Amino acid sequence: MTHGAKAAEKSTILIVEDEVDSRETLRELLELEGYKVRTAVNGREALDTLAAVGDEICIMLLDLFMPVMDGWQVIDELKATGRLSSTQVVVITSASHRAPAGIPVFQKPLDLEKVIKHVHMVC
Amino acid sequence: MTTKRFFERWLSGPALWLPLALLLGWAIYSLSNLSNATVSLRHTDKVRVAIERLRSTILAGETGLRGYLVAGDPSFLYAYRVAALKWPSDLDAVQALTKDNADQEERLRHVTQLLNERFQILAETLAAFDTGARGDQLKPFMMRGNRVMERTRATVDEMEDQEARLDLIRQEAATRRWQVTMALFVGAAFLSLLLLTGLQFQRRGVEARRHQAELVTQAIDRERHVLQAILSGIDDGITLQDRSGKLVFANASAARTIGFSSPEALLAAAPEEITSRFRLFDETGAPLALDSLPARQVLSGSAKEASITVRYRLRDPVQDRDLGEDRWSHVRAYPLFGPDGDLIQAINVFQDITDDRRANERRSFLAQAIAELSSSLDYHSTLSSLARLSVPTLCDWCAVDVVDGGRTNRLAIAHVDPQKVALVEEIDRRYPPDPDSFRGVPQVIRSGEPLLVASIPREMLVAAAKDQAHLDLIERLQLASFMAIPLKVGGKVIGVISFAMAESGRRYQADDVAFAQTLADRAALAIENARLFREAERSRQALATQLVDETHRRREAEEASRFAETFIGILGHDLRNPLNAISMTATLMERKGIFDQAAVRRIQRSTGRMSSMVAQLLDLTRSRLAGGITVERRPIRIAQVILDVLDELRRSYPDREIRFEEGDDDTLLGDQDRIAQVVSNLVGNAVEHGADDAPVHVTLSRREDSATLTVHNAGRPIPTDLLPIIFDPFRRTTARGERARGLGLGLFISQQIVQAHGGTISVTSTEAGTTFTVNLPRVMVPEAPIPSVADTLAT
Repeated sequence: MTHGAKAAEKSTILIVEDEVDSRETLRELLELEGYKVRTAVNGREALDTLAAVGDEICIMLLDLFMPVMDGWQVIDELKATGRLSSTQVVVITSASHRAPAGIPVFQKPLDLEKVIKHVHMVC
Repeated sequence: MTTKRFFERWLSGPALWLPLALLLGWAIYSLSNLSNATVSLRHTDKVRVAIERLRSTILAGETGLRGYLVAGDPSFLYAYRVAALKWPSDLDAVQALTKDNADQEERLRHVTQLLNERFQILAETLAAFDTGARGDQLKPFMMRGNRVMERTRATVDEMEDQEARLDLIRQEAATRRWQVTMALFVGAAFLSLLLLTGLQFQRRGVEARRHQAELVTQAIDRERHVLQAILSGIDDGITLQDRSGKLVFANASAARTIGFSSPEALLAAAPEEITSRFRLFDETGAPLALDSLPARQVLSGSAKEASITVRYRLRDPVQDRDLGEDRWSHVRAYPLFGPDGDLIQAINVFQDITDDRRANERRSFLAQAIAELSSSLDYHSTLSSLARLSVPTLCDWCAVDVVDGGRTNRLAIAHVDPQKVALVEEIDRRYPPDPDSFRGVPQVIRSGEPLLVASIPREMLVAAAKDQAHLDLIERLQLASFMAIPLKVGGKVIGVISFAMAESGRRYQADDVAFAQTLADRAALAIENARLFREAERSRQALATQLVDETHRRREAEEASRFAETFIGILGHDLRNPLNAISMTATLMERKGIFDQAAVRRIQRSTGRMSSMVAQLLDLTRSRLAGGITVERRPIRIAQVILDVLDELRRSYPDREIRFEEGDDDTLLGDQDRIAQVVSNLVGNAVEHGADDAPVHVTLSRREDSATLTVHNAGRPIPTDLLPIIFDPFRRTTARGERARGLGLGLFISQQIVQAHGGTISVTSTEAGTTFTVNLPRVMVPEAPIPSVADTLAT
């Protein structure tokens, strides 16, 4: 894959999505694009992953409505710890009108072409 | 005793009177002796005069004879003859005077002899002379005569001397006696003076004492008048009884108390007449014997002081009926002792405590009335109870009239005797009161002023009666005294309370009007308060209703808003998620250029979930907006239903173990599809949330009247804060914090279904696992038929 070398160091995509079918389809699709993918089922797991392997993460696709810890809380946490600037975040949500300002948003059902295009741009 | 008194007594006593009497007696005696002495003196004089006269007579006789003898002139003989005739009488005179004197008598006898002899000699001489003897011839005669004469003379002189001596002695004695008498008289005079002075003193003392006594008497009179004025003036009745119980004194109040016009009338009355004037009761109203009055105890000596509170009623003994109302008296008796300490009388003090008692009665009546007035907000019942309460404390009759839209309505009437009430109602029916009347209730309504007719004259009844029959009816009421009191609220007369006295004979006075007005004001206040309360209550209720409505509306709005939000969330998010998966899967398949089996299953699963969610949303909408989930009741075999559901689930979760411990199969009335929905939901949850490595246990047991289904799974317990709301809609969680594969409506809908069957659903969750228990009645309680979900779905 052409993009693979580009993102050699920071080529992992983190999918934070509680809904298994969406999460797994997205993972399969991005893996098909040649990206290494990690998943988290809620905000808590996402932050844990970032803490553990944050250096690898190129972009985080973040759902907003999630149990345990939702997407807004994750963003707040990243803002609070100053990591938001060093972490590329894209919000994927069915409620785009409620997304936090200044962060790219993709409305569900996702236009995968746009998502992949954006991921390509970043990673 | 004072010195003065002693002096007075001494002066006026026998100490002075006796000496004075003795002295006077002595003086009188002495005076009488003095008189005797004077008589003796005078006697001596007389003796001496008689002697002198005798001597003169003798001398005249001698001289006459001598003259005859000398001159021979017989004329001289006349003197001699007179003397010869006279001397015996002269001698008798002397003799008479000296017969108490023996010496003188002796001498007198001697003189008599001598004189006899002399005059014998003279007679002889004369005879001699007449016979012619002369000179010497006569001489012997002369000589003898001279001797005799000499002796006579000597004797007479002796007599004279003796008399002279006697006179001297008597004079001395008389002088002495005079002096003594004078002394005695002077003494007596002095004593008399003393005595007079004493008497004067005594008289003055007596005067002074009499004056003093008069002053004292006047003072006592004044005191008595004052005392009598006080006794008649004081309100307490006071009587005195002697030991026999007879009244000896009574003041005006005492007389008045027991129905007499004056104390004199009371004192003059016989005991039985007095006792016929009143009837006596004790405090409880039981008849009381006169012997129980404290005076009897005091007079009998059994008590030093005694008192009792009595109730009495004056009577007309002639007509044999009670007069007026009961009165109360506090009777006290005290003994009255004489100077020697003997009980002589008893003092009775009757204190009229009727006013106090009545005030007490009225206070308690007022308290009761106020309590009664405050107990009801309905002023009709308030006034009725007021009328009822007023009899008999305040009246024999009580009527309440209220002004209602310009008309006067009789609201209540009370009397102890229901027949009398009926009588008044009859009068009112036959002769409706004239609202324009210038008398009675209409007058009070118009004037707003209370009306008092202390004593109803017959003329008033006659004037009020419309005809004779009316008058007869009115007279049967025996109305004696009347007052009508306005009920004023905010200055407006809303009614009148009428009070009347009849059989009891009581009479109203000004203070009764004042009291009744207080009562009426209280009643008016209670009515006003009740009105205000009702208004406030209405406002409060309106406000409360408004508040409830507002709250309800707000809650509904919030509910609707929350529901809408959730609904939007579901439609916007949850339904989009499977769509997202379907869409992405399709894209993926397109990119891969293959029809991957897993991808196809994903599409199928997602569309299945979509259908399920739509069905649940319809159930929710139905339960929320269309009156609840409906069930179709048919006999079902519950164990079979469970088995069918479990088969299906086992196919969906081939790697999970689901155990079913089937007890006796049971047939019950229920909706097979709905029951299957509940089983599917509970077991599906258990599979999804339970520990992957532990089986899910399903049991069915049968009881007398119900079938019990339990679904148990091992694994982490449901958080305790979630347990109470676990059956609420849109409550969903997963053990892993992953998105649940539903809307969180499953348990809510299961509960709705179980409740629609008349059953219950509950949950327990501990470290040992989570168990849902469903109880379904074997005979369902019939419910109103509700359209089935199928019908709803169809529409």
